[in-house]
Amino acid sequence: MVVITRDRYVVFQVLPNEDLPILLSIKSKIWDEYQTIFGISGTTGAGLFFDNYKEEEGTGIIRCDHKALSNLMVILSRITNIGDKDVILIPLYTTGLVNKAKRYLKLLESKS
Amino acid sequence: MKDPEAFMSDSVLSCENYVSADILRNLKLFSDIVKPLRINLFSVDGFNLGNVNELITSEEAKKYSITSMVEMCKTVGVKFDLIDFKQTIKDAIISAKFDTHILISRKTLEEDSIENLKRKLSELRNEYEIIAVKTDDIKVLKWAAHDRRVDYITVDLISSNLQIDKALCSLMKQHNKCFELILSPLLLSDNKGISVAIRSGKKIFKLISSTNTQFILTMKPESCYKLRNGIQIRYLAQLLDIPFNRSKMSVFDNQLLIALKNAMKLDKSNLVNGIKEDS
Repeated sequence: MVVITRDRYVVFQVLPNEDLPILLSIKSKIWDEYQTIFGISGTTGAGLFFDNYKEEEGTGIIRCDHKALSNLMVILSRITNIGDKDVILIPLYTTGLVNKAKRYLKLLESKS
Repeated sequence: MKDPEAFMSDSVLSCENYVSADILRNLKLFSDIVKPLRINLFSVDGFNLGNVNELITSEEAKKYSITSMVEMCKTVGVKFDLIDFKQTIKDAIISAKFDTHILISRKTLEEDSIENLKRKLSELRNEYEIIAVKTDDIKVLKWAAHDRRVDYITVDLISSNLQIDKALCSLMKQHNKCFELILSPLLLSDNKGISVAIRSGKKIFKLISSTNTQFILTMKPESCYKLRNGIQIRYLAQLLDIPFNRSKMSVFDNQLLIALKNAMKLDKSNLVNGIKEDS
C-alpha cells in the first residue's frame, strides 16, 4: 500500500537580525522543545525537516506533516532563547507546496 | 503570489494587553521586535493618560510612529457606531503597513478588599483607559464583575489557588465583561512549571467555556523577546484546549473595542457636567 503524506512548509524568520544562530543549534532547540511538550512519539510523527536556511537573513523553511502543523507552531512560539541568546522565531508563511515556500523566501530576500 | 508586505490580512492584527513600562525604555529594540511581529496595540501597565501623552510627544517616539488611542481616533475621524469605528481603525493600521503602534494607558488593581478597590477605582477611573482587577479573593472579584469601571478580570495560570468559579463566570457573562488570561507561564522552561500552567489553564477554560463568557489572551511579557503576535498566542492557547477558531476575537478585536469605548468616554470633548462622584 502506498501512503502519500501531506506535508506543510513553514517559512520562518529568526529575530533579532544580528548575530544569528547557526542551523544546527536551531534544529536541536526545536527537536528538544518538541520532545518536551509532545514526547518522542509525537516528534517522530511530525517528520520535521529543515531546508533553505540562510544564516545572513535568518530565514528558512521547516517541513512537517500536515497533522503536526499546529504542534510545530506551538513549539516555534515557545522558543525564547537559543544557547544563551534571546531570540524569537516567527512563522511567516505556511503552504503545502515547496516551490511556493521557496518563492516566498526569494521575495523576502529581494525585499531586504 | 502575494507581496510579503500585503500577505497578512486584517485577521492577524495583534494586541499585547499587559505590557510593563520597562519594555518601552529601549524604543529602538521595541520597534525592531514589534515591527516584524506586527503588534500594533499595547496596553502599558502603570502608564496613565499623562504618561502616554508625554511619551508620544517626545522626538524619539515620533521616529517610531508611536501614538495614543485618542490621537488615532482623531486622525481617522470619530464615529459613533463602535463596530464601524473599530473597522476604520483596523483599516487605518493596515493601510499604514502595520507601522503604527498605539499605546493605551492601563492599571491593574491588586486590592484585597472591596473597600480598597472602591476607593482606588474612584481615584483612578479618569486617569486610565483600561482598568483590570487581579486578586485571589473571590468576593472582590464578584464585586468587580458587576462594576462598570472595571474592564477585565485578570487570571494568572501559575496562581496557586484557582480564584474563579462558575458563579463568577455567569456574572461576567451577565455584565458583558472579559476574562484576561495571562499565557506567559506557557513559555516557562521548567517542566513542572509548564505542566502546572497547562493543568490550571485547562480548568479555567473549561469554566469559561461552560458559560460562554468572553475572554482575551495576553502574554504579559517581561522583555521584548517574550512578545508574541496574535497567531502565535492563538497556537499557544491550543495547549489549554482553546480551539483555534474560538480565540479569533481574543487577540485583537475585543481589546480594541474596549479601548475605543473607554478612550471616547475619557476624551475631554465628550465630558459633560453631571453628578460628581465622591472620592
